[in-house]
Amino acid sequence: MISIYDIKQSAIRVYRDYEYSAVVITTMAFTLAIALFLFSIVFTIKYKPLPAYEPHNIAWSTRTENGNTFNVGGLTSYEYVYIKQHQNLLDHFGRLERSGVTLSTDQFTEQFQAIATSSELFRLLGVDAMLGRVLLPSDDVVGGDKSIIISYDIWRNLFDSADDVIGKTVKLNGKLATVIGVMGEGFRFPTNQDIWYSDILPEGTLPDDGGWNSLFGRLKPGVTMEDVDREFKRLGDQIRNEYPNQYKGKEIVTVKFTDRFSYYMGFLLSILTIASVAILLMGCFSVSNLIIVRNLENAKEILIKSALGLPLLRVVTSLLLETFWLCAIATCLGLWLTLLAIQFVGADVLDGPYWWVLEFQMPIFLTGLAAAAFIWLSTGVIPVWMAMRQPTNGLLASGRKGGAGTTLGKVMSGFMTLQIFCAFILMVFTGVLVGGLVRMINADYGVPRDGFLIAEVQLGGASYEALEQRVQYYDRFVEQARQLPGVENVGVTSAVPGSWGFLSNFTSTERKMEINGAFPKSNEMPVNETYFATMEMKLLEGRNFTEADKEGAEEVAIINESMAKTLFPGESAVGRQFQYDPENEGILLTVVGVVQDVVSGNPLWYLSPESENWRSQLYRPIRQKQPIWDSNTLVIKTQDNPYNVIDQIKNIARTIDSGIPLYEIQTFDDLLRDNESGFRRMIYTFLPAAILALVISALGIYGITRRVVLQNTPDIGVMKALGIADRFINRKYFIAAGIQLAMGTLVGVIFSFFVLPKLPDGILITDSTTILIASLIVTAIIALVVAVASYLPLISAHKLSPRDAMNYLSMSKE
Amino acid sequence: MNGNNLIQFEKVTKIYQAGDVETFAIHEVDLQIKRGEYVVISGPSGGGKSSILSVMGLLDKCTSGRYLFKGSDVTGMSRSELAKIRNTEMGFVFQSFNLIDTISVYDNVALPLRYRDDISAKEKDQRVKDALLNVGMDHRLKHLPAQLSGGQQQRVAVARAFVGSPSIILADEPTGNLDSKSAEIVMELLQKQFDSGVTICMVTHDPRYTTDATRAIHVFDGSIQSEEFRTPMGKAEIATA
Repeated sequence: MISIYDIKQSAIRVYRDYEYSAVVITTMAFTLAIALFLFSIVFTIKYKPLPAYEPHNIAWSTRTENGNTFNVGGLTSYEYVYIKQHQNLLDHFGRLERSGVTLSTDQFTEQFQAIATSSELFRLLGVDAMLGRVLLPSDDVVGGDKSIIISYDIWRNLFDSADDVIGKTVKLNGKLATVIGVMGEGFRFPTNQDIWYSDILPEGTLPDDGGWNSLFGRLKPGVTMEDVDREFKRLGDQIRNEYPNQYKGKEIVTVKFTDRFSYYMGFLLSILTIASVAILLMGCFSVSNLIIVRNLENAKEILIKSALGLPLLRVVTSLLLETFWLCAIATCLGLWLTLLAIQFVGADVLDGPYWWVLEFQMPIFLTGLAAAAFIWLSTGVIPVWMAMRQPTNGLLASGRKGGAGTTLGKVMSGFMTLQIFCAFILMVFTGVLVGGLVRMINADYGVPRDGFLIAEVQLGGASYEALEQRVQYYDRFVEQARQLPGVENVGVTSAVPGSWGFLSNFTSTERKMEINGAFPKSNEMPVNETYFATMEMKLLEGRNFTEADKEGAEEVAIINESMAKTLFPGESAVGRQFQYDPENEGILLTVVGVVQDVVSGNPLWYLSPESENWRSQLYRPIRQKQPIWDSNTLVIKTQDNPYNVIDQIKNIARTIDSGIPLYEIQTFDDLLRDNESGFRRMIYTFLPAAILALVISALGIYGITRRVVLQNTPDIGVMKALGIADRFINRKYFIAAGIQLAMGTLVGVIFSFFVLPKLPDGILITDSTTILIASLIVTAIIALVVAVASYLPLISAHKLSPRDAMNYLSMSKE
Repeated sequence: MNGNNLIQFEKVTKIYQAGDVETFAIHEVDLQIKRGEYVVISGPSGGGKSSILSVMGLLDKCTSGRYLFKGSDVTGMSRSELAKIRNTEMGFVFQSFNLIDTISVYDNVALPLRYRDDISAKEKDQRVKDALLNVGMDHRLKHLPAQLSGGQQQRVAVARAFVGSPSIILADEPTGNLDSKSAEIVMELLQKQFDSGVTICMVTHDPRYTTDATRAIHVFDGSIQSEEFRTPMGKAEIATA
């Protein structure tokens, strides 16, 4: 079927026209590499399986409330116990609860994220310990001795990879525990945890016992994820019917474990998928046009072969082989570039659950091959179609090597238009993303960013079981830290602006308040009396907390402006009361002050309309409320560089209690920059890819235009011989390019107006004016590229005399 | 129908359409070419001689009428059937040589044989070498066409035309791009093929190269204006359409 001669000849032709072959190969290789790299991120987030036994059958249940679903947690311990007693759809059904813990030995005291769970977790995942053992059913005892399993990183970094770590006694939150196992490298289930221990709930758990659980289990044969979701929702309804107040507006949602984490990345996935496809199509159109132009020069040869009666299949095979060589070389190069990109920048691109590690896996390789095959076949169709043309004596008698006929010219114009369209979409997306980043960087959190050192502290163990003991710790810390030279003020809070405290419900004592069927939510933060002054937050009304706001005194609160408007619209909030935690018939709190709003979490989301129901902020005095399970942030306002006082701050903490470490010590500005990091990472991945793709596209447009102008040089010669001025000749080519530009841009603008506003996030600026401005800027840039790409080859043509221009093709042949 | 007819046109018409304008390139032409004839077609530019050659060589289809090649009606044949006839029964010599620039002289001549299953590889090789020896180009086997003079390129084209042992060689102004010396050589080569029994049909402007023909056809406005039958020694009969 395919002869050695055909293979040899096609390879020779690729080699002979090596400059042009290089352009085609480079265009396709970079296109493939960029599209594949972006796709590898999509694949990792969306499709990469959890490294566990039958990962697709692992069900994961969490809370949905106020239209928001938590990735981890949200379900009460009572719900777990109730569902456990009634469900029969899942094997290895269990629960886990995430919390911060202090791990200490004689050598170190460190803070980690831990998971309280049961042996079912390890049976579900089908994983074993690297050293020692995992939790066994014998460990599943209510109130039993603490047996802990540590991560590979803890074992390596804190135990110096010691083999005798198994059986070692450590302190977990100040209580004795025994290390029974070390997990293998990379294991950090469910997201990025380092310690796992058995914590079995008693059967008599009550509905208001709290808890922040996630439920898990493996689908039994024949059971679908939808079955489990339906059944758990039904059981949730039963609980809600029994305890309507506590579970008002709360739902249980069950999905495949990995889907829970990819779901919230929907926005990034949409952007990357669109970009990946746009880049691939852009490259495809570019390569198609490059190959068409190349084959135009072979058009005469195809006709000669056809005239000599060579079978059509043979003519076609020979052409497809030539395209195959180009695509094969480009594919190898493209895959290699993808591999390099993943190896060298893959680790910095994604920040998420532990299995989201960018790797050059078989699906990515196969996708690369499929994309290459798509490009090969789509570009191969054109030469095949050209070969189908009937040879005519007129064409054969012509001295010309070939050129674009009317139909083929339209195809090329169409491809160029589509290429411009793809470039347009890519640039508009890049523009709005960069715009989002700029907004993020310039976001006003409501407080100054500079001059703050912050440190996390988690008080646990017997020494801090009483609220008074915890308050004493903070009082001592604040008092001593304020004495340090260079320190202006010190405050304590459970969450600084840019982060979240814990969620609590509230309602008015005078009227019914419901949002999406549930009580309104507030971001609750216990703070000390110096916090607002330290953070430079404005007290708009009323007073600050005082030392008199303590246990036994009137339960008071300071609320932010948004919460005041929600509770007491158009009225003063100071002195008014509202009900706290109405789900559990909670206490009445008296508002003593109103402070300004600050941003909680991601500013772009927080300031978007979607977060309207999440802007209430409730401050409680730490002398009245400071949950033992919650960590606190120490805020130190300094005159100069905050890092100058870091050692003194650590010393103070050590002096007060050497068993309580400060962790996540950083400047407030660094914390806020962390908020931007995901976005920055996305931009830093996307932007170079988009720019590179556009450069490749511009080169492609230039390459095609140049070749077309060269082919038309004899016509230009004729026009020059007839005395037509250069500017009129240029105008002819500019008008043709302008039409393509206008059509590509028009389709792009329509697409942008249609798609951008539908993207599921408030991050993008998607109003009509912004899209229009972005479209105009992008059009101007692409127009410049097209104009330069059209003009440069014309300069060469104009340098020739009319006679040389007319004979250009025969001259170049000689 | 005469069984000795190689080519038979019956009221063949070829119309080219450009927008609303129809141009009759060939107008109801009746023509027979017998095996062993040497036919020259001449006439003014635009008279239709190249169109006749194009339809005759199955490079173009007629708009109406019938075309019988070796007694078979080719007007309804498929592309692949037509290609097979061109490949095995016909040889072409064009004014602009139409050699493929990117392959060697040897490969150009071998091209018509390349995909033929009825000839062994060894025989193909021998035929190509013999053909090139015949046209005096055996010393340029590995050269590219661009490395040859116009005359040499046309000699290679002639070799390519007869390497497949066709029944007929169709030549469209084969000397049009050549100097007189090269033209003489090419004409001698065609004559040699005629002498060996191959039918020749040639379009030419040049009266110098019509003397060897056994029949001269004059075409004007798409119709045959006159036909002149000759013996190899000279004029035998004149027929006027």
